[in-house]
Amino acid sequence: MRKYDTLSGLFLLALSLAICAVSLRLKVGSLSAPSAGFFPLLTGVVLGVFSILIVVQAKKTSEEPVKFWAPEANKRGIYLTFFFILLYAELLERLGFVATTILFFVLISRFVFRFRWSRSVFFALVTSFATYLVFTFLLGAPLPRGIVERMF
Amino acid sequence: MDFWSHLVLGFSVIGQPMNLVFCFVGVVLGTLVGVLPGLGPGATISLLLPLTYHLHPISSIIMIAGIYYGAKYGGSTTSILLNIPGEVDSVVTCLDGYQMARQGRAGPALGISAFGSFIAGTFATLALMLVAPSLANFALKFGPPEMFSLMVLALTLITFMSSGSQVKGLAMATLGLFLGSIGLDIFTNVDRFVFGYNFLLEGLGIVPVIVGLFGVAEVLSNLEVQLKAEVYQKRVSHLLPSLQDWKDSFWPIIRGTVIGFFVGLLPGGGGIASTFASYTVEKRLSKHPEKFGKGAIEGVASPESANNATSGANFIPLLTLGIPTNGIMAIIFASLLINGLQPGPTLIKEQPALFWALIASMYMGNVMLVILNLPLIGVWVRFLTIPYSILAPLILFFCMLGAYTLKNAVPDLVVMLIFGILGFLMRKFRYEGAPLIMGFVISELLEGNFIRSLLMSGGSFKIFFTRPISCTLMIAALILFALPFFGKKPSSLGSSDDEG
Repeated sequence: MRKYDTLSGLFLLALSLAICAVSLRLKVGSLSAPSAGFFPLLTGVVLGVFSILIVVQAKKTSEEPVKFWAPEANKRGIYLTFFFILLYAELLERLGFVATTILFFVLISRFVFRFRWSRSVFFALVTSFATYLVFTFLLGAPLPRGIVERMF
Repeated sequence: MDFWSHLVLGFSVIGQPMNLVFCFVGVVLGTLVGVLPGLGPGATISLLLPLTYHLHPISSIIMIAGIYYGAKYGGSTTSILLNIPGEVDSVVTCLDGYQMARQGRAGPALGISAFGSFIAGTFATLALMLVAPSLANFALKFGPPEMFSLMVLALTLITFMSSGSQVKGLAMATLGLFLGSIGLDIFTNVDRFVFGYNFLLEGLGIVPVIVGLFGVAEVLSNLEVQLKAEVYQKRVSHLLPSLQDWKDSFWPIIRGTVIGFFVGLLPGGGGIASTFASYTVEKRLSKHPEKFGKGAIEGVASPESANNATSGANFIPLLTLGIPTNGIMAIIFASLLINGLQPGPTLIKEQPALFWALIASMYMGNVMLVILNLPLIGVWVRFLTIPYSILAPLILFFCMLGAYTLKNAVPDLVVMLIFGILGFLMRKFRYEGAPLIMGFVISELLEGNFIRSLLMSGGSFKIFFTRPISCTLMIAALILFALPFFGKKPSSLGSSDDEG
């Protein structure tokens, strides 16, 4: 863990310096009249102190051979999931709720969880339409409308 | 209104058919997520937050609370039958519960676990009912310095009680405080850390942050290494414990309940800490400690009672002081805020119907849970066969729906994804999510009270040490902060994340 603690501590230290730098650009004020940058600056300083302590403590810990990924980790599945969520965010307001949700379910169940095409499509259709109906007609929540929704 | 009229008010509110339905839905969902490994109550409550936007606040809180304490009941089923804790709190139950199942005694193990949970849950509700109003009245005397010191103590305590490094926990709590300060400053209306992204003016959304950190991160972690397990005993019979089982379990249930309740009052006092503590006490007190780990019913009765007492006690600091004691309480805190309610000393006074309906729902919910968990055990066992490949896409989808539908804003989906990755990395680098979430949700309150205190004192920090209550809280926080540097951290205590 020593390597990872050092790395994460240094990352937090860099983040705390960035927080302090941006806070100082805001008006900090004084102790008797604190302004907008005062509290973020304080959190930046405190985070900096803790991150230094993490790095110092890391040096005292024994070098434990820990690998980032578990043996036989499904790295491909994780990367694809990340990409499909991003794609969902990109397409949701362009294609509408139902079409984007169908696409998301087909992609994730086919390529991450390796369902057969027919099962992926069935799963996608059932979930998309069911949630659309519940949210739109039962809960009255507005969801982005596309070609499919205009048919209702 | 006196105590009894308040209680009658609570039961009249919970007696409304819709509220009863939401109580039932909550405990059923809670049992279900408790049973299913890889889906915890934190993630589930996060997923259901979009539904609660459209419900009455009382119905929402009744359902959400039901999920929380219902999960404690369900978690034991998976521990006993699969040797995999359905909830992190049920880790200890695996030790003797699974051994009992191997000896063909899964029925009594499940039975005593349900009865112990019922007794502890009912006791915790009774104590909540008796203690919370007086504590809230006392807390009404708190000014900004006392509230600030209390929140500092809560943050220190949650990191002190966590399983990992306290410095890492404190760093996460501080990061949470910073993240909560993004957006318009409450005093000057100046935008902070917005960088031209207008959606950040209102601050980072509580729902995308929580859903990302709990829900998405959980799926990503489970995707890396998928759980594979077989049910040891698919047909469960003879659920009622024998007279000897009751004799062996009576005092462990009582002791587990008391330990669980007091641990649950402390910030960071998650169910896992209370289950380990009660198991250790039982083993020490037992005339046959060698039987522990080999199927001793006391090893099931005590921790299962403890985690249910903890879940009831967790509501006391939240509802009386506005302090969430663990990650899930932070989510419940957020859901109250979303519904326009401010948890804290004034909540019980201003919203008596909500508080007393919650109390009444917990009594009703505990009865429903015993019925659900004993005769219907076969149904829950069948749920164990649902493949994670079906659950995971659904969880992710509800995470996205939850993050999006609060403000119908696509940037919230991106925020959710970023926090999902952050949560995944935090698990890898052994940083806990609970301090970050707690810092994030109390950031505005903490900053407000801090600035007000400084304004009151003309910029002097002495104000935190010259008022007796504030001074006591600050000294306690400083002691807890300093203890680990002298090698006094209770490393045996578990995480307060409460995620399964």
